[in-house]
Amino acid sequence: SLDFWRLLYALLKQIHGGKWTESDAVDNQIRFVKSALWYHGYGRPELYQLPSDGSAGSRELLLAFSWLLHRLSLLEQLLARNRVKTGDETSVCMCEDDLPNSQKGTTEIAPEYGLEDRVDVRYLQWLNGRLRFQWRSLHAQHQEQCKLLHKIHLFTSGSHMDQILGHFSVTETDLVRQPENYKQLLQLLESETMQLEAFLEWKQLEPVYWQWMEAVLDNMAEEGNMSESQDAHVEKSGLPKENLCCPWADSLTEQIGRLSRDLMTLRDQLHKLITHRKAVWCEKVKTREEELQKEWFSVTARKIQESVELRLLDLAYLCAPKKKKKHGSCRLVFRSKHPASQMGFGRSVSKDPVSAVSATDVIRELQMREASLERELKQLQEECRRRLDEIAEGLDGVICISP
Amino acid sequence: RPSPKELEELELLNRALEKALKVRKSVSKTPLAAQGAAGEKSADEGPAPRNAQERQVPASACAAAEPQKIPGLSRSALDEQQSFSVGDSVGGENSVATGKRLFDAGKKSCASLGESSKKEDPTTEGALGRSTSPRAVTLQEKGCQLKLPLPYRKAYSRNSRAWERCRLCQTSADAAAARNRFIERIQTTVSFLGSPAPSTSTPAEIEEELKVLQDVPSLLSQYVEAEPADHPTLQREYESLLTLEGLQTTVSQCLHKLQLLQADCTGDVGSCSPACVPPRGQTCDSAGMLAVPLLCYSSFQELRDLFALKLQVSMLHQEVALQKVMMAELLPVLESRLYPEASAAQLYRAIYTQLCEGGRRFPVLVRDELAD
Repeated sequence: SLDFWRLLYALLKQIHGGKWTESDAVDNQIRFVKSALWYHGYGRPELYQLPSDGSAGSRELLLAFSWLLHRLSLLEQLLARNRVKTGDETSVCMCEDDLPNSQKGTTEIAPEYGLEDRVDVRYLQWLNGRLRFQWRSLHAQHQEQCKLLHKIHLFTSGSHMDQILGHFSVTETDLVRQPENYKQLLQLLESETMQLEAFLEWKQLEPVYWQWMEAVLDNMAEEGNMSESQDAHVEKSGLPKENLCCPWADSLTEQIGRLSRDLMTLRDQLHKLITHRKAVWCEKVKTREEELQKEWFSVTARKIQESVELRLLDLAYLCAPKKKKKHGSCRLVFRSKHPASQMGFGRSVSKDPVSAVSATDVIRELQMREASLERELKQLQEECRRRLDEIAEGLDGVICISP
Repeated sequence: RPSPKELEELELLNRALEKALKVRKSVSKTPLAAQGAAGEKSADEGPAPRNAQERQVPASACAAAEPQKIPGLSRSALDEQQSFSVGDSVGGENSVATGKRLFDAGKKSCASLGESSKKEDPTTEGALGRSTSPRAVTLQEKGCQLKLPLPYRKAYSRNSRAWERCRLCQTSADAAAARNRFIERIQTTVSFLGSPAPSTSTPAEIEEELKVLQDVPSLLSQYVEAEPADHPTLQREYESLLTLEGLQTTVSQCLHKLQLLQADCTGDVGSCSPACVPPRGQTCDSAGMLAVPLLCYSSFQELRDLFALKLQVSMLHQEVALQKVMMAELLPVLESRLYPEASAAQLYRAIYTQLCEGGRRFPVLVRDELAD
C-alpha cells in the first residue's frame, strides 16, 4: 500500500502544482493525498481512517484511484499538463498568482514593538522604490521581448508544415539554425508519442478495468463491509470534529465576507439611486400623460426591455462560472486579421482540434481582474486614510493635509 | 520580487532572440579583412556557390553554410550563453508567474544555445579560411521559405497525429456503462460531496465559483457608474431605470450565491477536515483537454497589451498583499505610540505615504501654531 500512496501522491502533486520532493515524509505524503481527495469531494470515510504509516488499505486506495481517474480525468489532465512545448508559451490564467491558502504571514509576525527591534521607515521606503523599479524594468524587458517574438512570428509565416500554427516559434527558428542542439527535444517528442500510444491502448482495455472495479465493489459488499446506514452514521459522528478551525474555511470565509460586504454596499447604493430615479420618472411621466397613451410608446417600451435584457444577459454570462475556463500554458500564435490570409482566424479554420483562446478574450478578463484588484487596493487605502486621520487627531500640534 | 538576476537573464534572453532573428548576417567587413589574400580568390567563387546554396531548400544547407558566414556572430552569441546559467537559477519561489512562463520559452532555446558552446564546431575553423563572400540575409527575407529539419518534422507530425488520435478517441460504450455503474455505487453509499444538487459543493467547486465571483462587484459597480445621472429623453430614462433594476437583481442573486457558498463551506468542514490543505488545484474542463492549446493574437499591439496587462495584474496582486501586511504592521506602531516622540511627524508622514498613496505622493504636514 505504501507504493500506492506514493503513486497517488506523485500524481496529485502534479495537479496541485506543488513541487514534490521524494524526501517528503510518508505521513506528510499521506496527509497530502487525503486532503487532496477531500478537496475534490471524495467521501469514503474508510480512506480517511487509513493509518498514516501507509501499511494498510490498498483496496481503499484502489477505489480512490479509480474514482480520481473518472472524476478528474486524471490521465488526460496529466498528459495535457506535461505536454512537450515546442512553441513560445505563455499562461492563459492568473491562477499562480493566488497566494497559498495557509497564509501564515500576518499571524506569525507578532506585533512586539519593543524599542530594541526598530527598523527605520526610510529603509521601507527605499525597498518599495526598488520594487517599483524592478517592476518597470521587467515591463520594459517584456515589451522588448514582444517585439522580437512578433518579428519572428511575422517573418517565418508560411514556413511551418503545421498549417494551424503557420509560423515558427523561437525554438523552432533556432532549430533551423542549429538542429544538432535539439536532440533532447526530439527525444522528448518521441517519448511523448509513445505515451500517447499507451493511452490509446488503455482506452481499448478500459471496459475490462471498470468491470474489474465493479467486481471489487461486489467483493466488498459480500464481506459485509458496506452496512451503509450504520457505518455512515457512525463515521459521521466519529470523524474528528476537533478540526473546527480549518484554515481553508477561514480564508474562504474571509473572502466571502469581503465580497458580501462589497455587494451589500452596492445594493444599498443602488436602492437609493433607484428610489430617486423612480421619483424623477414619476414626475416626468405626470407631465406627459397624453404622450404615453400613444401606441408608439408601448412598442418602444418593449423594445427597450428586450435590449436591456440582452445587455444584462451579457453581464450574467460574465458573472456565472464558465465551464470552458482554460488553464495552463498555451502556445502563442500570430493570426493576422488580414482578409488576404487564407487561414482567417479561429473560426473559419475547418479543423476543430484546436482549443484556441483569443488574446482579445484573455485581455478582457485581465481587464476585469485589474479593475477588481484596483478597487480592492483603493478600499484598503481608504481604510488606512480613515485610521490615520484618527491617529492624526492624537498628534499634538500637527495638521495633515493630504495630497 | 523580480530579482536583478532575473532581469539580467531576461536581458540575455532578449539579446539571444535578436540573434535568432538573423539567419545569416553580413559580416563582409570582418572575415574579408582578416583573410586578405584568401578573400581575393574566393570573391570570384562567391557568386556561384552562393546561387547554388540559394536554390537548395533543405535547411541542412543553410546550417552548413552558416558557420562560415557568421563565425564572429555565433561565437559571441555562444559566449554570452556561457554565463547564462541554464539550471534552476530562476528559483521556485518566483512569484512573477508571467515572467517565468515567457522565460521558460526562451530558456529552452537559450539552454540549447548554451549546449552547443561545449562542442566547438570544427568546420567553423576550417570554413573561415575558405569563406566565400557573405550576403546579408535576414530572417525577414528568407523567413517564409525556411524549412524545419526532417527529423524534427517527422517527430512533430507523428506526435501531433498521436495527439489527434487521442483527442478523438472515445470511451467505448461498455467501458462508460461499467464506469458509471461503479461511480454511482461508490458515491451513493456514503456521503460524497459535489454537484449535482442537493448535495453540497466540493471544496474545489466552491473555490472555482468564488474565483468567478471575485470580479463581480467591481464589474457591477462599473455598470452602475456608467449610467448617467440625467437623460434627455423619456426613452433613455426608462432604459436607464430598467438597467439599474436589472443590476439590483443581479446583486441580490450574487449575494444569495455567496450565502450558499458559505453554508457549503462550513458544511464541508464538518464532514472531514484535512490537516493540511492542498494549494489550489486547477480544475479544467475535461472536454478540450487534449486539444492543441493555442493563444492567438492578431496584432503586435495586442501582444504587447497582453503582456503588459498580465504584469499589471501580477503587480496589483502583490500590491494588495503588501498593503495588507503593512497595515497590520505599521498602523499598530502609530496607534501604540511606541516610537520616539521627536520623529513622530516624519514617521506619520512616511507611513501615510506608504499606506494611502502607494508610496508615490506625500501629504503635507503643517505645524499647528495657532493651537497655542
